[in-house]
Amino acid sequence: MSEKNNLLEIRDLRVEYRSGGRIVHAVNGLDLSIGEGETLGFVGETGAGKTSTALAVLRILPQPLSKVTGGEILFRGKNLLEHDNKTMRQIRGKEIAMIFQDPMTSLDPVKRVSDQIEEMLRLHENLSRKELRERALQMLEVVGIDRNRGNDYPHQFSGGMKQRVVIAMALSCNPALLIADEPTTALDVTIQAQVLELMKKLKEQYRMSMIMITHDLGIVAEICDNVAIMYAGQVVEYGTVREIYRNTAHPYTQALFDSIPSLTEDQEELKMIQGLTPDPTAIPTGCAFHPRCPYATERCAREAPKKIKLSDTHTVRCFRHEESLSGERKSPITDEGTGEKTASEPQNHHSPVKGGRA
Amino acid sequence: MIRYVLKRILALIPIFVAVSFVIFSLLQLTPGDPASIVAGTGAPKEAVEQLREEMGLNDPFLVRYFNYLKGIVTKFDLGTSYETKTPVTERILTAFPATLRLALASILFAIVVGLPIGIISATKQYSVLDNTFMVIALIGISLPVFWSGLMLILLFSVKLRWLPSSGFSTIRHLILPGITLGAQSAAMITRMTRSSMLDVIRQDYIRTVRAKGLPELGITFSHVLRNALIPIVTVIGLQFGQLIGGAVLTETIFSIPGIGRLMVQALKTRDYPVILGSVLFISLLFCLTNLVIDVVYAYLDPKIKAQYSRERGKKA
Repeated sequence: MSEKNNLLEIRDLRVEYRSGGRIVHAVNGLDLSIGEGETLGFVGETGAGKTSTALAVLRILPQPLSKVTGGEILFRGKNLLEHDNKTMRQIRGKEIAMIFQDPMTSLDPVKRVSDQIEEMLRLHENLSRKELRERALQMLEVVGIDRNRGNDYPHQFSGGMKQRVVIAMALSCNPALLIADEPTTALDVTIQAQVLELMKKLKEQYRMSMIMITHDLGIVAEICDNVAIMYAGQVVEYGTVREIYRNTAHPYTQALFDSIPSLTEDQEELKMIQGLTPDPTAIPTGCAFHPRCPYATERCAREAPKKIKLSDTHTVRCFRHEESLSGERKSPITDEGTGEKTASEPQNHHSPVKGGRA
Repeated sequence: MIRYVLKRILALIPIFVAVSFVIFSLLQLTPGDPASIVAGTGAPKEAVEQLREEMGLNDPFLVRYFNYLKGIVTKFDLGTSYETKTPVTERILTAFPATLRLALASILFAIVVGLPIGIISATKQYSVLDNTFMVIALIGISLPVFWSGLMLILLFSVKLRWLPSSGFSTIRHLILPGITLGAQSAAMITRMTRSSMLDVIRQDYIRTVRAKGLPELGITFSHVLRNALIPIVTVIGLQFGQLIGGAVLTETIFSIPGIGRLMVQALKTRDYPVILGSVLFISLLFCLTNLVIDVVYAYLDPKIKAQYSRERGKKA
């Protein structure tokens, strides 16, 4: 993909939090890009810096505890970090909208849901009161909620319905980019599938780009074109869904796949990744994953791996792939499948488990 | 909703009975014989004894208590003042307007000063401004009324001669006592506004509206303050309830003929019916203030409103 087509491009982003006198490095030199109409899966464990990245893009990081300390965020070629507050407010909601993780707490409890959607429209669209109301109710219908429920308050909706309202709100101004921060994590498994289905449908309908933040590789397979695997505030592997699922390159990505319980094999225990997510106040030297990596060498502890290009779309940060620069591509993991299926339908032991949490 | 209010008014009855019983009992325990006070010093023993009989003081305790309640229920009669020989109800109702005006002036001052300062402090948490305001608020809570009142009189009445130091006829007379009495309430409202808003600022839904592109001012008023109002309204209501209960010291310092002064006077002269009547009257007002707060809750929080109507549904 050419750089010109990129809707959003993040370069070397760094985000820090101050927490009781200590500095938490939430995002450490993150590179990411997303093209028009593309859906990017943004995968990582809790604390990997996924949400911080999203909040940094919208510039709504909690003040004054956190700040962007470096890098740039280019949206349609312009650095968002350089915009004044007014310009930024016009981008929020109108150009880049966000769906948050917990629908139970994402809506203002004392406002009618239609009013909350109207508020979004009022900020960005030039409409009369009547039109605002009508558009808000239409949005409710778009996400499958009866328009007569517009006058209800959030507490009168279930979690799944609330998330639909949040989606309706986010899409009401037809944004170019939607950032969905674990939109289904807080929902029941059956509701997760419904909401995901809805998002998939609306993504096509509204022709927008989407960043799907999740730790669920099943969701990624279902809805995304490309995947960025995040570890300790950095993208460790980036590629198309097919490349990530078939030619898994980074040991951390592999570990994520391994931790998905298999439906076909008899498993006594859930596999998990050894060790803990690194303490973000003291990220390991060298490759941040080395203390948990089965392939770690002495060099990994000393030196941080550079981005290595495995194909036009596939990059990884791991020394084990330095030799593959020469051309012959080999994934460290034996790959039984030889991709004749589409990228969104991976098979064999990588098969996504819907609702399973990686 | 109306049913809820009616239910709450009915619930006032047991509270009222309990309060009256406790105060009635306590007054029985206080030393001193009302009959001899009424008869005056040096009155002959027989006259005092006769007075005791007439005043019903020789009846058993419970009989006296029920007679008292009966008077209230049937004739809205709180007894007769020992001192002035006029009905207690009349004395209270004469004194009440002054107290009410003072209470309104004070709470108005408290809200006008306390709310904006609280809002600024919350939105600029830990800034120099916030810290300064919080120190002032702490001082405001700690300052005793008898001192701050006198200081205000010294400055504005004696030295600058801007405002009258006593009396109670014009709005100008209300300013100094209003500030004196309202200062503590203002400080309470400031602190509650700040902490309640800080709670809300950290909520996810505030992040949601920020992500919508709403300007900070809109976020602060339309969402943060709106959601933070319940504890603030509670404090305002409780403060108002207290203010209405008669500001004994303030009324004394500024010579305002209100309930507080009436009570002090009644205590000095052992005018038991007046004390009893005033306390009952104040507790009733306090309960009503609380009821008003609870009704306001329903308009502030749709969940509470739903709860009120659910209670009705259960009964139906």
